[in-house]
Amino acid sequence: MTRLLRRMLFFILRRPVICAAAVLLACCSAVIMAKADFRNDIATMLPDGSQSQRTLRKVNASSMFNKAMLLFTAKEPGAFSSEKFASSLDTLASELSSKSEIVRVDHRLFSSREGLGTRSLVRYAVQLSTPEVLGDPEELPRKVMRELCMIQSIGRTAQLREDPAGISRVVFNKLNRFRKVSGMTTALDSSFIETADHKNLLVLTETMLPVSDPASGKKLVPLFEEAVKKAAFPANVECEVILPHKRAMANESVVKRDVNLAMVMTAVLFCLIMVFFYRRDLRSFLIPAIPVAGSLVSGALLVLIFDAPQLFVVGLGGVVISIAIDYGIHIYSAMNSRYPYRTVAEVLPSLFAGMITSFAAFFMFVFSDMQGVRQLGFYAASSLLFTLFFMLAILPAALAKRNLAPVVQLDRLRSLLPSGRYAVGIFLVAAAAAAASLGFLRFKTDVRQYDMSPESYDLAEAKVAKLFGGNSAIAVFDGRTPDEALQNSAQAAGKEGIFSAAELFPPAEECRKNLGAWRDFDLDGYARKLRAAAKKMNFPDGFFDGFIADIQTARQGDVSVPDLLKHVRQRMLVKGSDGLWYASAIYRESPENSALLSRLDHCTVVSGKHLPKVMAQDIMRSIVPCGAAAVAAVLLITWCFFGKFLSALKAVTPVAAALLLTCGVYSVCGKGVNIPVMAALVILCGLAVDYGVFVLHAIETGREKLIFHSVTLSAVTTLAGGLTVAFARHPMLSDAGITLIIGIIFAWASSVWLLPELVKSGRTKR
Amino acid sequence: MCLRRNSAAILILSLISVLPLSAGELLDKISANMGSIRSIKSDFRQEKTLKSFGFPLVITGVMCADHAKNLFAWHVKSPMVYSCIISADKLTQWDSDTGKTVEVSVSRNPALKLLSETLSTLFAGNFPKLLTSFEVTKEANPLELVPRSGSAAAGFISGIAFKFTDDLSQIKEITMNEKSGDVTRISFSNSQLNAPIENFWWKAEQGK
Repeated sequence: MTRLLRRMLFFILRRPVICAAAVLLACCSAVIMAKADFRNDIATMLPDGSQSQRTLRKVNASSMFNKAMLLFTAKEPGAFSSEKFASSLDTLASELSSKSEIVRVDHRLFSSREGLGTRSLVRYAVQLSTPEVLGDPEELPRKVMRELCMIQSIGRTAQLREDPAGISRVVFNKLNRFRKVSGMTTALDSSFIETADHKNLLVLTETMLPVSDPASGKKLVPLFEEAVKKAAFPANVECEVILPHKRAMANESVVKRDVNLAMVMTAVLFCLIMVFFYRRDLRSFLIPAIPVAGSLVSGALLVLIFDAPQLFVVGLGGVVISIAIDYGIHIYSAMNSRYPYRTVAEVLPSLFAGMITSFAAFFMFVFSDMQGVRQLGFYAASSLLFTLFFMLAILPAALAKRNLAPVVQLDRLRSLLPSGRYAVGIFLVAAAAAAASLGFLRFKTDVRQYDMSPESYDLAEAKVAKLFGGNSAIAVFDGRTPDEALQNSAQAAGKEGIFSAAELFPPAEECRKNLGAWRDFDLDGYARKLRAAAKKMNFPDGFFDGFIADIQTARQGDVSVPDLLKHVRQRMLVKGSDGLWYASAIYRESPENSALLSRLDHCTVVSGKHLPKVMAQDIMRSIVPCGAAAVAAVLLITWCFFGKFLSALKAVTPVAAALLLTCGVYSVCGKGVNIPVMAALVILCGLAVDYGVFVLHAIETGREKLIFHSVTLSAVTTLAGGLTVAFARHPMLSDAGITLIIGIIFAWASSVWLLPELVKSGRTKR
Repeated sequence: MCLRRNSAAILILSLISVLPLSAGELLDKISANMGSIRSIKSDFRQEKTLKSFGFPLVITGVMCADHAKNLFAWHVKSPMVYSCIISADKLTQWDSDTGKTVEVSVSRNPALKLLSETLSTLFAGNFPKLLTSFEVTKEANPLELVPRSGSAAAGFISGIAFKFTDDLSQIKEITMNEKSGDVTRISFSNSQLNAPIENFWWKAEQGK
C-alpha cells in the first residue's frame, strides 16, 4: 500500500498538467455552483418511504393543506355590512379565482340566501337515511300547524311545507356534528365567514403550490398583494394575508444568510490562521484555498447528480473544509523538513489513512434513506477525496522552493500541558463522570425546532384559530376515485371526536343500501294518510304534495349535492396533484384519536402534534444505524491500516474520548442532542481518528516531535470551521458547529496528551 | 341547533338592525319615548296570511317583556296553547299538544342568544343600536323598511313596517312581508307599561 501511494504521489508530482487541470476543474465547478438552484426542503431530511415523508408528500399534493387566509379586521362597527365592502370582497374573490395558482376561494358560507334550499336538502337526505325518519303521517299536519303558531315560524312556512317531517335534520345534525368536532364558530347572521361580534372576517383560499417550497411563497405573496390592492377595500377595514408558505421562505432566507455568513467567516478565519501560523507566507493560503476548490468540484457534482441539491449541505462546507485543511497542514509541515519530498512520501500513508477513514464515515451516509443525508455524505466524502488529490497535485509544487517561512512554534503551549503521568488519570475521571451523566442525556427530536420563521407567523395562525375556533386536526384517506376515497374515509365515520367526509357524502354503496330501503317503502300509502290528515287540519289540498314528490324523485337515485353542502364537499374531497383523491376526516386532537386513525387503511394523519412526533421517530430510526455504520467503518479501516487490533484501538482513543466527553457536556448542560449534533458527532469521529492515526503513526515512525504542531494547528482550523457555523441562526448549522468546537478540544487533548502516554505505557510494560 | 330555527333568530335580529344610520328625528324620538319602558304586557293578535292558504291563520295570545330581568314571554292561546319563555341563558317551550317542556341553552345556541337580545332591544325601543341590515324607505308612522342586499334578512323578507302609537311610545303593529309571499301582521292591544308582571306569566307550562 505504501509503495502504491508513493508511486501515485510521484506520478502526480511529475505531471504539472494535473495541477492545471485541477485549477480548471475548480473554475468550471464554480460556474456550475453559481448557476445552481439550491433548495431548502424539509422533506429531504425525512427517510424515503417513511410515514412522515408519505404524510408530507400528501400534504404537498393536496390543496387541502396548501391554504392561504385573508383576515379582515373591522376598525369600526358594521364595517363588513356596507355595500362597498361586499363589492370589494367579491372583486377580491374574483381576482384570486382567476389565477391559475389558486384552486378555490371561499368568502361566503352560503352561495345564496334564497332560503337554505330545503327541497334539495330533503332529496339529499334520502340518501343518508331510511324511511323511519318520516314518522307518523297522521301526526305531521298537526305538528306543522303547531310550528306555524310558534314565534320561530316567521319566514319558515315554505320550509315547513317542503319538509314537514323534518328529514333534512339528518343533514343538519351531521353539519352540527361537524361544527362540534371542528370547533369552528361563525356568525349566523352573515353569509360571510365572520366572527359573531362582526369584528373579524375570513376569506379562505387553497392552492396546489406546496407550503414546504419557498418558491411557492415567492409566487403567492405578490399575487395576494396585487389582488388586495385591486379590490380597494374601504379604509375602515384592515386586511392581513396569512400565508403558511411564508415559513418556507423565512427558513430559506435564514439558511441563505447563514451560508453567506459561514462563507465569509471561513474566508476570514482561515486567512487569519494562515497569516498567524505561517508568518505571512502567501503560499500558505493555498492550504485553505485547495479544500475550497475541492468543495467546489464536489458541489458541482452534487448539482449534476442530485435532483434537488440542498442548501444546508453546502452550508456545512466550512466544516468539511476544516477537515480537509489538515492534509495541507501536514504537507506544508513535511515540505518544511530537511528532505521535503521524502517526508511527504512518509506522511502520505497516514494522510491517506486519515482521509479514507473520514471518507468512509461520510460515505456511509450515502446509504442513508434520507436524501439530505445522502447528499451530505456524497458532498463531504467526495470533497475530501478531491482535496487530497488537489493538495498533492498543487501544494508540493508550490512549496518546492526552499526558504519556507518558519512556522509559529507551539512549544509554549505544549509546556502548559500537565505531565503525561496525569493524563490517564484525568481522562479516566472525566470519562467516568461523563459516563455517569449520560443517563441525563436528552434527545431533542421535535423537528419544529428547525422552523426559524418569525413568531408573528405563529401568532397570526393562532389568532385565526382563536377567533374562529377550528383547532381540530385532519386525517386524509386516499383513493383512486372519489368514491374509493370516501369508502376509505367511511372507516372513521361516526367515531367519537372524529368527523369523516363519508358522513355527509356517503360512498355509493351506502347510498345504494339506503335507496333500496326507500324504494321498498310504501310511499303511496304514506302520501294518502298524510293528505287525509292534512285535510282534517284544514290545510289546502296538495299542501304537502311537493314533499312527497321530492322523496319520489330522490329515491330514484339521481340527486345532486345541495348548494349548502357543495363548498363543504369541495373542501373535504379533493384531487391531489399526484392523481389520487383525498377525503378528509377532522378530529379532536388526542393521542388516542391519532393512534386510532393511524391504524386505518389508506389513512394519513396530519396534525400539528402527531406529525412532528412521527417525523422525529422516523429520523431517529434512520440516522442511528447510519451513524453506527459510520463509526464501524472508521474502526474497521483504522484496524486495516495498523494491522494490529491493539494499535487500532489506541488510534481510536481520541474518537472515544471526544464522543463520550462531548455527550457528557451535553448531559451536564441539559442541552438536547438533535440531528445536527448527531451529524457533527459523526464528523468528529472522522476528525478524531485522523488525529489518532497521525499521532500513532508519527510515534511509530519517530516523528513524534513534529506531530504536536500539526495536530494542534489542525485542531485550530477545525475550531475555526466550527466557528464559521456556530453563530448561524439555524440550529442545523449552529448546533453542528458548537458540537464540533466542544468535541475537537477533547479530541485534540486526548491525541496529543493521552495517546502518547498510552503508547509509552504500552512500551514500558513490554 | 337546527339552522331552520336560526332563520327566525336571524330574522328577528335583522328586525332590530332596523334603523338606517341617517334615520333622524323620528327614530330618536321613538328611542327616547320607548326608552322609558321597563316592562310591557300586551295582548297580541297575529295574522299569518299564507300564500298557499285560502284563509289567514289567526293566532292570539299574550306577550310579556321585562327589560330589567331580561325576560320575554310569548303565550299563544289559540288555535293551540303554546308558550315560549326566553331569558338571557335559555329558551323554555311548552305546548299543550305534546305536554312536553323543552329547554334549550342560549349560551350553547348563538341564534337563541341573538333572539333573546333582539327581542329585548326591540321592545325597549333601543332602535339605534344596530343599523346594519335594513334601510328606511319611509320615515314616518308607520315606519317602513327593506332589508339591505346581502343581509341575512334579505333571504326571508321583502319588507317590514312598524306602526307606533301616536306618542311613539309603543309598537302597535308589526307587518312583515315575506319573500315567499306570506304576510305576518302582529297587532298589540291592552298594553300595560311598567306594571308588575306576575310570576305566573314567566312560566312556560301555562295550560297545566
